[in-house]
Amino acid sequence: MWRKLHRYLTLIVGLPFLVWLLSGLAFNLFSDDTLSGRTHFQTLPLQQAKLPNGFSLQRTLDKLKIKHPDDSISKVRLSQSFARSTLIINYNKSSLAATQYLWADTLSPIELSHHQLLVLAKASYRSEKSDEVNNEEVVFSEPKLLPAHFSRFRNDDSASHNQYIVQVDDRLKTRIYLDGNTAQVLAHLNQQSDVQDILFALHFFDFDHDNGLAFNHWFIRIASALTLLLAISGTVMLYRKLKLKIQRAN
Amino acid sequence: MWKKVRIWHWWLSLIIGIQVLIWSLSGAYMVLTDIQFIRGQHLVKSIPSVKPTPHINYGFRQVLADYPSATNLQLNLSVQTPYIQFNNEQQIMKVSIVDGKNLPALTVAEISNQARAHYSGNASIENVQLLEQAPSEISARHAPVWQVEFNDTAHTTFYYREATNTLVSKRHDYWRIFDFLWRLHIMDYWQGVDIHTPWLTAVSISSSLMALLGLFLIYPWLRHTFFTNRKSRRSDNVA
Repeated sequence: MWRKLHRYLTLIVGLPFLVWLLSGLAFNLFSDDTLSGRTHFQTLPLQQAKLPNGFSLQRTLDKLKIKHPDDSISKVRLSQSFARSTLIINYNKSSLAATQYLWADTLSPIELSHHQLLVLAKASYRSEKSDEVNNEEVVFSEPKLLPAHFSRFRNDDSASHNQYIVQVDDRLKTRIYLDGNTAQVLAHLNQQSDVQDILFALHFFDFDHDNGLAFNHWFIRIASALTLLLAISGTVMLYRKLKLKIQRAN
Repeated sequence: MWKKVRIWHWWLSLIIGIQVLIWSLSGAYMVLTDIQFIRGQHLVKSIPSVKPTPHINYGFRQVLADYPSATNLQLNLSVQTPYIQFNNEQQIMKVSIVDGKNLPALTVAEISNQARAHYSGNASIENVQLLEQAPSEISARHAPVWQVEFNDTAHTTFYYREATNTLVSKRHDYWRIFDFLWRLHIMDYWQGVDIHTPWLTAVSISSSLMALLGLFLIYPWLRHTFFTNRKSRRSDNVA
Protein backbone atom coordinates (compact mmCIF):
# COMPACT_ATOMS: atom_id res chain seq x y z
CA MET A 1 0.00 0.00 0.00
CA TRP A 2 2.77 2.45 1.00
CA ARG A 3 4.81 1.60 -2.09
CA LYS A 4 1.81 2.22 -4.34
CA LEU A 5 1.03 5.49 -2.54
CA HIS A 6 4.68 6.56 -2.82
CA ARG A 7 4.71 5.89 -6.55
CA TYR A 8 1.45 7.70 -7.28
CA LEU A 9 2.55 10.67 -5.17
CA THR A 10 5.87 10.78 -7.01
CA LEU A 11 3.90 10.91 -10.23
CA ILE A 12 1.82 13.85 -8.94
CA VAL A 13 4.28 15.97 -6.92
CA GLY A 14 7.67 14.54 -7.90
CA LEU A 15 8.43 17.39 -10.25
CA PRO A 16 7.31 20.24 -7.90
CA PHE A 17 9.35 18.57 -5.15
CA LEU A 18 12.45 18.57 -7.36
CA VAL A 19 11.80 22.23 -8.25
CA TRP A 20 11.62 23.04 -4.52
CA LEU A 21 14.93 21.33 -3.89
CA LEU A 22 16.73 22.93 -6.83
CA SER A 23 15.44 26.46 -6.13
CA GLY A 24 16.33 26.00 -2.45
CA LEU A 25 19.81 24.93 -3.50
CA ALA A 26 20.12 28.04 -5.68
CA PHE A 27 19.13 30.27 -2.73
CA ASN A 28 21.78 28.49 -0.71
CA LEU A 29 24.49 29.02 -3.33
CA PHE A 30 23.83 32.66 -4.29
CA SER A 31 24.85 35.28 -1.75
CA ASP A 32 22.13 37.68 -0.58
CA ASP A 33 23.96 40.73 -1.95
CA THR A 34 24.31 39.24 -5.42
CA LEU A 35 20.55 39.02 -5.91
CA SER A 36 19.37 42.03 -3.92
CA GLY A 37 19.05 44.47 -6.82
CA ARG A 38 20.64 47.18 -4.68
CA THR A 39 23.97 47.27 -6.55
CA HIS A 40 23.55 50.97 -7.38
CA PHE A 41 21.33 51.94 -4.48
CA GLN A 42 22.38 54.66 -2.06
CA THR A 43 20.37 56.03 0.84
CA LEU A 44 19.24 59.60 0.51
CA PRO A 45 21.02 61.96 2.91
CA LEU A 46 19.04 62.87 5.99
CA GLN A 47 17.74 66.41 5.62
CA GLN A 48 17.72 68.77 8.55
CA ALA A 49 14.23 69.27 9.92
CA LYS A 50 12.94 72.71 9.01
CA LEU A 51 9.47 74.14 9.46
CA PRO A 52 7.64 76.54 7.15
CA ASN A 53 7.13 80.08 8.40
CA GLY A 54 4.18 80.43 10.76
CA PHE A 55 3.76 76.67 11.19
CA SER A 56 1.87 75.67 14.32
CA LEU A 57 1.26 72.03 15.24
CA GLN A 58 -1.93 72.90 17.13
CA ARG A 59 -3.35 74.87 14.17
CA THR A 60 -2.41 72.06 11.79
CA LEU A 61 -4.25 69.50 13.92
CA ASP A 62 -7.28 71.77 14.14
CA LYS A 63 -7.35 72.19 10.36
CA LEU A 64 -7.06 68.45 9.81
CA LYS A 65 -9.86 67.81 12.28
CA ILE A 66 -12.11 70.25 10.41
CA LYS A 67 -11.30 68.46 7.15
CA HIS A 68 -11.85 64.98 8.61
CA PRO A 69 -14.03 65.31 11.73
CA ASP A 70 -14.69 61.57 12.03
CA ASP A 71 -11.09 60.45 11.88
CA SER A 72 -8.80 60.33 14.86
CA ILE A 73 -5.13 61.07 14.32
CA SER A 74 -2.73 58.78 16.16
CA LYS A 75 0.61 60.07 14.93
CA VAL A 76 2.08 63.05 13.06
CA ARG A 77 5.62 62.74 11.70
CA LEU A 78 7.69 65.58 10.30
CA SER A 79 9.87 64.90 7.28
CA GLN A 80 11.60 66.80 4.47
CA SER A 81 11.40 66.43 0.74
CA PHE A 82 12.73 68.78 -1.95
CA ALA A 83 13.59 71.39 0.71
CA ARG A 84 9.97 71.41 1.85
CA SER A 85 8.55 70.04 5.07
CA THR A 86 6.13 67.15 4.81
CA LEU A 87 3.78 65.65 7.35
CA ILE A 88 2.99 61.95 7.54
CA ILE A 89 -0.34 61.59 9.29
CA ASN A 90 -1.44 58.25 10.74
CA TYR A 91 -5.15 57.76 11.40
CA ASN A 92 -6.52 55.08 13.67
CA LYS A 93 -9.52 53.90 11.74
CA SER A 94 -11.45 55.90 9.30
CA SER A 95 -13.06 56.17 5.94
CA LEU A 96 -9.71 57.60 4.85
CA ALA A 97 -6.65 55.58 4.10
CA ALA A 98 -4.73 55.04 7.33
CA THR A 99 -1.75 57.16 6.25
CA GLN A 100 -1.64 60.51 4.50
CA TYR A 101 1.40 62.36 3.14
CA LEU A 102 0.96 66.14 3.06
CA TRP A 103 3.06 69.22 2.39
CA ALA A 104 3.38 70.93 5.78
CA ASP A 105 2.85 74.47 4.43
CA THR A 106 -0.35 73.90 2.44
CA LEU A 107 -1.63 70.61 3.95
CA SER A 108 -2.27 69.42 0.41
CA PRO A 109 -1.35 65.85 -0.61
CA ILE A 110 2.16 65.38 -1.97
CA GLU A 111 2.19 64.83 -5.70
CA LEU A 112 5.62 64.90 -7.28
CA SER A 113 6.14 66.18 -10.79
CA HIS A 114 8.02 64.08 -13.34
CA HIS A 115 11.03 66.32 -12.88
CA GLN A 116 11.01 65.79 -9.09
CA LEU A 117 10.62 62.03 -9.53
CA LEU A 118 13.64 62.00 -11.80
CA VAL A 119 15.68 64.01 -9.29
CA LEU A 120 14.68 61.52 -6.59
CA ALA A 121 15.64 58.55 -8.78
CA LYS A 122 19.04 60.06 -9.58
CA ALA A 123 19.69 60.88 -5.91
CA SER A 124 19.13 57.22 -4.99
CA TYR A 125 21.52 55.97 -7.69
CA ARG A 126 25.23 55.42 -7.12
CA SER A 127 27.31 55.15 -10.29
CA GLU A 128 29.86 52.40 -10.73
CA LYS A 129 33.47 53.49 -10.35
CA SER A 130 34.30 52.14 -13.82
CA ASP A 131 31.60 54.40 -15.31
CA GLU A 132 33.10 57.41 -13.56
CA VAL A 133 36.61 56.56 -14.76
CA ASN A 134 35.41 56.10 -18.32
CA ASN A 135 33.37 59.27 -17.97
CA GLU A 136 30.33 57.36 -19.14
CA GLU A 137 27.06 58.81 -18.02
CA VAL A 138 24.13 56.49 -17.52
CA VAL A 139 20.83 57.51 -19.05
CA PHE A 140 17.65 57.66 -16.97
CA SER A 141 14.29 57.21 -18.69
CA GLU A 142 11.32 59.49 -18.05
CA PRO A 143 9.24 58.32 -15.04
CA LYS A 144 6.44 56.06 -16.18
CA LEU A 145 3.30 55.44 -14.13
CA LEU A 146 3.01 51.81 -13.06
CA PRO A 147 -0.14 49.97 -14.14
CA ALA A 148 -2.90 49.63 -11.55
CA HIS A 149 -2.41 45.87 -11.13
CA PHE A 150 1.22 46.36 -10.09
CA SER A 151 0.75 46.31 -6.33
CA ARG A 152 4.07 44.83 -5.25
CA PHE A 153 5.14 47.95 -3.35
CA ARG A 154 1.70 49.14 -2.39
CA ASN A 155 0.94 49.35 1.27
CA ASP A 156 -2.69 48.64 2.12
CA ASP A 157 -2.61 51.40 4.73
CA SER A 158 -1.44 54.03 2.31
CA ALA A 159 -3.49 56.30 0.11
CA SER A 160 -0.69 56.16 -2.40
CA HIS A 161 -1.38 54.45 -5.71
CA ASN A 162 0.76 56.86 -7.64
CA GLN A 163 3.85 54.77 -8.25
CA TYR A 164 6.40 55.21 -11.02
CA ILE A 165 9.29 53.40 -12.63
CA VAL A 166 12.49 54.95 -13.95
CA GLN A 167 14.69 52.72 -16.09
CA VAL A 168 18.43 53.18 -16.12
CA ASP A 169 20.49 52.22 -19.12
CA ASP A 170 23.33 50.65 -17.14
CA ARG A 171 25.04 47.24 -17.29
CA LEU A 172 22.46 45.63 -14.94
CA LYS A 173 19.42 47.40 -16.43
CA THR A 174 18.47 48.93 -13.07
CA ARG A 175 14.83 49.85 -12.51
CA ILE A 176 14.03 52.43 -9.85
CA TYR A 177 10.55 52.37 -8.30
CA LEU A 178 9.25 55.61 -6.80
CA ASP A 179 6.15 56.77 -5.01
CA GLY A 180 4.76 60.07 -6.24
CA ASN A 181 2.59 60.53 -3.15
CA THR A 182 5.16 59.83 -0.46
CA ALA A 183 8.30 61.08 -2.22
CA GLN A 184 9.98 57.80 -1.35
CA VAL A 185 12.22 55.44 -3.28
CA LEU A 186 10.39 52.13 -3.07
CA ALA A 187 13.03 49.81 -4.51
CA HIS A 188 15.87 49.24 -6.91
CA LEU A 189 15.55 46.13 -9.04
CA ASN A 190 17.80 44.86 -11.81
CA GLN A 191 18.66 41.76 -13.83
CA GLN A 192 20.21 40.15 -10.75
CA SER A 193 17.12 40.65 -8.64
CA ASP A 194 15.10 39.24 -11.56
CA VAL A 195 16.99 35.96 -11.01
CA GLN A 196 15.93 36.10 -7.37
CA ASP A 197 12.34 36.74 -8.46
CA ILE A 198 12.46 33.65 -10.67
CA LEU A 199 13.81 31.58 -7.77
CA PHE A 200 11.08 32.89 -5.46
CA ALA A 201 8.47 32.14 -8.10
CA LEU A 202 9.76 28.57 -8.37
CA HIS A 203 10.09 28.05 -4.61
CA PHE A 204 6.66 29.49 -3.77
CA PHE A 205 4.83 28.62 -7.00
CA ASP A 206 3.76 32.24 -7.29
CA PHE A 207 4.37 33.34 -10.85
CA ASP A 208 2.65 36.72 -10.65
CA HIS A 209 5.19 38.75 -8.71
CA ASP A 210 3.66 42.09 -9.62
CA ASN A 211 1.31 41.82 -6.66
CA GLY A 212 3.94 40.67 -4.15
CA LEU A 213 4.90 37.21 -3.01
CA ALA A 214 2.13 34.93 -1.74
CA PHE A 215 2.82 31.61 -0.10
CA ASN A 216 -0.53 30.66 1.37
CA HIS A 217 -2.26 29.99 -1.94
CA TRP A 218 -4.20 26.78 -2.55
CA PHE A 219 -1.80 25.25 -5.08
CA ILE A 220 1.22 25.34 -2.77
CA ARG A 221 -0.91 24.14 0.14
CA ILE A 222 -2.07 21.04 -1.76
CA ALA A 223 1.42 20.40 -3.15
CA SER A 224 3.03 20.70 0.29
CA ALA A 225 0.47 18.37 1.92
CA LEU A 226 1.02 15.76 -0.81
CA THR A 227 4.80 16.17 -0.54
CA LEU A 228 4.60 15.58 3.19
CA LEU A 229 2.67 12.39 2.46
CA LEU A 230 5.32 11.45 -0.11
CA ALA A 231 8.07 11.90 2.49
CA ILE A 232 6.13 9.94 5.12
CA SER A 233 5.45 7.04 2.73
CA GLY A 234 9.12 7.02 1.74
CA THR A 235 10.18 6.97 5.39
CA VAL A 236 7.83 4.06 6.17
CA MET A 237 9.19 2.07 3.21
CA LEU A 238 12.74 2.86 4.22
CA TYR A 239 12.08 1.76 7.80
CA ARG A 240 10.46 -1.51 6.70
CA LYS A 241 13.26 -2.36 4.30
CA LEU A 242 15.88 -1.55 6.89
CA LYS A 243 14.11 -3.71 9.49
CA LEU A 244 13.94 -6.59 7.02
CA LYS A 245 17.64 -6.26 6.21
CA ILE A 246 18.56 -6.31 9.90
CA GLN A 247 16.34 -9.37 10.50
CA ARG A 248 17.97 -11.17 7.56
CA ALA A 249 21.44 -10.28 8.80
CA ASN A 250 20.64 -11.75 12.20
CA MET B 1 20.39 -0.15 -14.85
CA TRP B 2 17.09 0.38 -12.99
CA LYS B 3 18.38 -1.80 -10.15
CA LYS B 4 21.38 0.52 -9.72
CA VAL B 5 19.12 3.59 -9.77
CA ARG B 6 16.92 1.96 -7.10
CA ILE B 7 19.95 1.16 -4.91
CA TRP B 8 21.28 4.73 -5.19
CA HIS B 9 17.82 6.16 -4.42
CA TRP B 10 17.61 3.89 -1.38
CA TRP B 11 21.05 4.75 -0.04
CA LEU B 12 20.59 8.49 -0.51
CA SER B 13 17.20 8.28 1.22
CA LEU B 14 18.83 6.45 4.09
CA ILE B 15 21.48 9.14 4.50
CA ILE B 16 19.43 12.34 4.08
CA GLY B 17 15.85 11.04 4.39
CA ILE B 18 15.33 12.59 7.82
CA GLN B 19 16.16 16.08 6.50
CA VAL B 20 13.81 15.59 3.55
CA LEU B 21 11.06 14.63 6.01
CA ILE B 22 11.86 17.73 8.08
CA TRP B 23 11.73 19.94 4.96
CA SER B 24 8.37 18.50 3.98
CA LEU B 25 6.96 18.88 7.47
CA SER B 26 8.28 22.41 8.06
CA GLY B 27 7.34 23.53 4.54
CA ALA B 28 3.80 22.20 4.99
CA TYR B 29 3.43 24.02 8.33
CA MET B 30 4.68 27.27 6.79
CA VAL B 31 2.28 27.29 3.86
CA LEU B 32 -0.73 25.75 5.62
CA THR B 33 -0.77 28.33 8.42
CA ASP B 34 -1.75 31.87 7.46
CA ILE B 35 1.28 34.15 7.63
CA GLN B 36 -0.77 37.03 9.08
CA PHE B 37 -1.85 34.71 11.90
CA ILE B 38 1.77 33.70 12.52
CA ARG B 39 2.74 37.38 12.65
CA GLY B 40 0.11 37.82 15.37
CA GLN B 41 -1.96 40.46 13.57
CA HIS B 42 -5.08 39.00 15.19
CA LEU B 43 -3.66 39.64 18.65
CA VAL B 44 -3.73 43.43 18.49
CA LYS B 45 -6.30 46.14 18.08
CA SER B 46 -5.59 49.79 17.44
CA ILE B 47 -5.79 52.18 20.37
CA PRO B 48 -8.07 55.17 19.84
CA SER B 49 -6.41 58.56 20.26
CA VAL B 50 -6.78 60.47 23.49
CA LYS B 51 -9.85 62.69 23.36
CA PRO B 52 -9.83 65.58 23.80
CA THR B 53 -6.18 66.14 22.85
CA PRO B 54 -4.50 68.49 25.33
CA HIS B 55 -3.59 71.90 23.91
CA ILE B 56 -0.14 71.79 22.33
CA ASN B 57 1.99 74.42 24.02
CA TYR B 58 5.21 72.71 23.08
CA GLY B 59 5.19 71.67 19.39
CA PHE B 60 7.70 70.88 16.65
CA ARG B 61 8.84 74.52 16.50
CA GLN B 62 9.74 74.61 20.19
CA VAL B 63 11.55 71.25 19.92
CA LEU B 64 13.69 72.55 17.04
CA ALA B 65 14.44 75.76 18.93
CA ASP B 66 15.59 73.86 22.04
CA TYR B 67 17.25 70.96 20.19
CA PRO B 68 18.53 72.32 16.82
CA SER B 69 19.98 68.96 15.74
CA ALA B 70 16.73 67.07 16.39
CA THR B 71 15.61 64.64 13.66
CA ASN B 72 12.68 62.22 13.15
CA LEU B 73 10.19 64.40 15.02
CA GLN B 74 6.84 62.77 15.66
CA LEU B 75 3.79 63.59 17.69
CA ASN B 76 2.19 60.57 19.35
CA LEU B 77 -1.48 60.96 20.29
CA SER B 78 -2.43 57.35 21.01
CA VAL B 79 -1.11 57.26 24.57
CA GLN B 80 -2.50 58.56 27.85
CA THR B 81 0.04 61.41 27.92
CA PRO B 82 0.59 62.60 24.32
CA TYR B 83 4.22 63.46 23.59
CA ILE B 84 6.72 64.44 20.91
CA GLN B 85 9.46 61.95 20.24
CA PHE B 86 12.67 62.78 18.38
CA ASN B 87 16.28 61.74 17.90
CA ASN B 88 18.85 64.01 19.45
CA GLU B 89 22.56 63.14 19.26
CA GLN B 90 21.94 59.40 18.96
CA GLN B 91 19.44 59.45 21.78
CA ILE B 92 15.68 59.04 21.55
CA MET B 93 13.89 61.72 23.56
CA LYS B 94 10.26 62.10 24.57
CA VAL B 95 8.92 65.44 25.73
CA SER B 96 5.49 66.53 26.93
CA ILE B 97 3.40 68.60 24.50
CA VAL B 98 2.08 70.58 27.44
CA ASP B 99 5.29 71.87 29.05
CA GLY B 100 8.17 70.38 27.02
CA LYS B 101 9.54 68.45 29.99
CA ASN B 102 11.24 65.10 29.46
CA LEU B 103 8.78 62.32 30.12
CA PRO B 104 9.79 59.83 32.82
CA ALA B 105 10.19 56.18 31.86
CA LEU B 106 6.95 54.21 31.96
CA THR B 107 6.14 52.18 35.05
CA VAL B 108 5.03 48.54 35.11
CA ALA B 109 1.44 49.67 35.65
CA GLU B 110 1.53 52.04 32.65
CA ILE B 111 3.03 49.41 30.35
CA SER B 112 0.42 46.91 31.58
CA ASN B 113 -2.37 49.37 30.77
CA GLN B 114 -0.93 49.97 27.32
CA ALA B 115 -0.57 46.23 26.65
CA ARG B 116 -4.12 45.58 27.86
CA ALA B 117 -5.38 48.27 25.50
CA HIS B 118 -3.49 46.72 22.57
CA TYR B 119 -4.46 43.12 23.32
CA SER B 120 -7.51 41.88 21.44
CA GLY B 121 -8.09 38.84 23.67
CA ASN B 122 -9.64 38.47 27.12
CA ALA B 123 -6.77 36.84 29.03
CA SER B 124 -5.12 38.58 31.96
CA ILE B 125 -1.51 39.68 32.13
CA GLU B 126 0.68 37.06 33.79
CA ASN B 127 4.02 38.82 33.96
CA VAL B 128 5.61 42.17 33.06
CA GLN B 129 9.36 42.76 33.15
CA LEU B 130 11.96 45.07 31.69
CA LEU B 131 14.71 43.15 29.87
CA GLU B 132 18.08 44.79 29.28
CA GLN B 133 18.88 42.23 26.58
CA ALA B 134 16.36 41.16 24.00
CA PRO B 135 15.40 37.47 24.16
CA SER B 136 16.22 35.32 21.12
CA GLU B 137 12.64 35.49 19.78
CA ILE B 138 12.95 39.19 18.92
CA SER B 139 15.57 41.35 17.23
CA ALA B 140 18.43 42.42 19.51
CA ARG B 141 18.25 46.00 18.18
CA HIS B 142 15.04 46.62 20.16
CA ALA B 143 16.72 46.19 23.57
CA PRO B 144 16.00 47.19 26.28
CA VAL B 145 12.41 45.94 26.01
CA TRP B 146 9.35 45.51 28.16
CA GLN B 147 8.11 41.91 28.02
CA VAL B 148 4.40 41.49 28.71
CA GLU B 149 3.16 37.89 28.98
CA PHE B 150 -0.53 37.03 28.76
CA ASN B 151 -2.20 34.09 30.42
CA ASP B 152 -3.74 32.59 27.27
CA THR B 153 -3.41 29.17 25.65
CA ALA B 154 -0.93 30.37 23.00
CA HIS B 155 1.28 32.12 25.62
CA THR B 156 1.01 35.46 23.85
CA THR B 157 3.87 37.84 24.62
CA PHE B 158 4.09 41.50 23.64
CA TYR B 159 7.39 43.36 23.48
CA TYR B 160 7.57 47.15 23.88
CA ARG B 161 10.74 49.03 23.06
CA GLU B 162 11.59 50.98 26.17
CA ALA B 163 13.02 53.97 24.31
CA THR B 164 9.85 54.61 22.30
CA ASN B 165 7.12 52.68 24.21
CA THR B 166 6.10 51.17 20.88
CA LEU B 167 4.90 47.62 20.40
CA VAL B 168 7.74 46.05 18.40
CA SER B 169 6.92 42.34 18.44
CA LYS B 170 4.05 39.98 19.10
CA ARG B 171 4.90 36.37 19.81
CA HIS B 172 2.77 33.31 20.46
CA ASP B 173 3.29 29.54 20.44
CA TYR B 174 2.35 29.13 16.76
CA TRP B 175 5.02 31.71 15.90
CA ARG B 176 7.50 29.81 18.12
CA ILE B 177 6.71 26.55 16.29
CA PHE B 178 7.16 28.39 12.97
CA ASP B 179 10.54 29.75 14.13
CA PHE B 180 11.67 26.33 15.36
CA LEU B 181 10.68 24.70 12.06
CA TRP B 182 12.35 27.52 10.09
CA ARG B 183 15.64 26.79 11.87
CA LEU B 184 15.28 23.12 10.98
CA HIS B 185 14.30 24.05 7.41
CA ILE B 186 17.43 26.11 6.73
CA MET B 187 19.61 23.90 8.97
CA ASP B 188 20.88 26.85 10.99
CA TYR B 189 19.88 25.52 14.38
CA TRP B 190 21.47 28.32 16.41
CA GLN B 191 20.73 31.71 14.81
CA GLY B 192 18.08 30.77 12.25
CA VAL B 193 19.38 33.28 9.70
CA ASP B 194 22.16 31.72 7.61
CA ILE B 195 20.91 29.95 4.50
CA HIS B 196 24.39 29.59 3.00
CA THR B 197 25.90 26.88 5.20
CA PRO B 198 28.00 24.16 3.50
CA TRP B 199 25.99 21.36 5.14
CA LEU B 200 22.81 22.79 3.63
CA THR B 201 24.54 22.77 0.24
CA ALA B 202 25.61 19.15 0.69
CA VAL B 203 22.18 17.93 1.81
CA SER B 204 20.40 19.96 -0.92
CA ILE B 205 22.56 18.44 -3.65
CA SER B 206 22.12 14.91 -2.27
CA SER B 207 18.35 15.39 -1.93
CA SER B 208 18.04 16.74 -5.46
CA LEU B 209 19.89 13.68 -6.72
CA MET B 210 17.66 11.41 -4.64
CA ALA B 211 14.52 13.10 -5.98
CA LEU B 212 15.80 12.92 -9.55
CA LEU B 213 16.52 9.20 -9.23
CA GLY B 214 13.08 8.71 -7.68
CA LEU B 215 11.53 10.42 -10.69
CA PHE B 216 13.52 8.17 -13.03
CA LEU B 217 12.16 5.12 -11.20
CA ILE B 218 8.64 6.15 -12.13
CA TYR B 219 9.34 5.31 -15.76
CA PRO B 220 9.77 1.49 -15.43
CA TRP B 221 6.79 1.39 -13.04
CA LEU B 222 4.60 3.32 -15.47
CA ARG B 223 5.71 1.16 -18.39
CA HIS B 224 5.11 -2.04 -16.46
CA THR B 225 1.85 -1.08 -14.75
CA PHE B 226 0.02 0.75 -17.49
CA PHE B 227 1.47 -0.08 -20.88
CA THR B 228 2.34 -3.76 -20.33
CA ASN B 229 -1.00 -4.47 -18.65
CA ARG B 230 -2.91 -2.69 -21.36
CA LYS B 231 -1.02 -4.55 -24.08
CA SER B 232 -1.54 -7.92 -22.41
CA ARG B 233 -5.22 -7.10 -21.85
CA ARG B 234 -5.56 -6.14 -25.50
CA SER B 235 -3.88 -9.36 -26.64
CA ASP B 236 -6.16 -11.34 -24.27
CA ASN B 237 -9.20 -9.69 -25.83
CA VAL B 238 -7.97 -10.47 -29.35
CA ALA B 239 -7.42 -14.08 -28.37
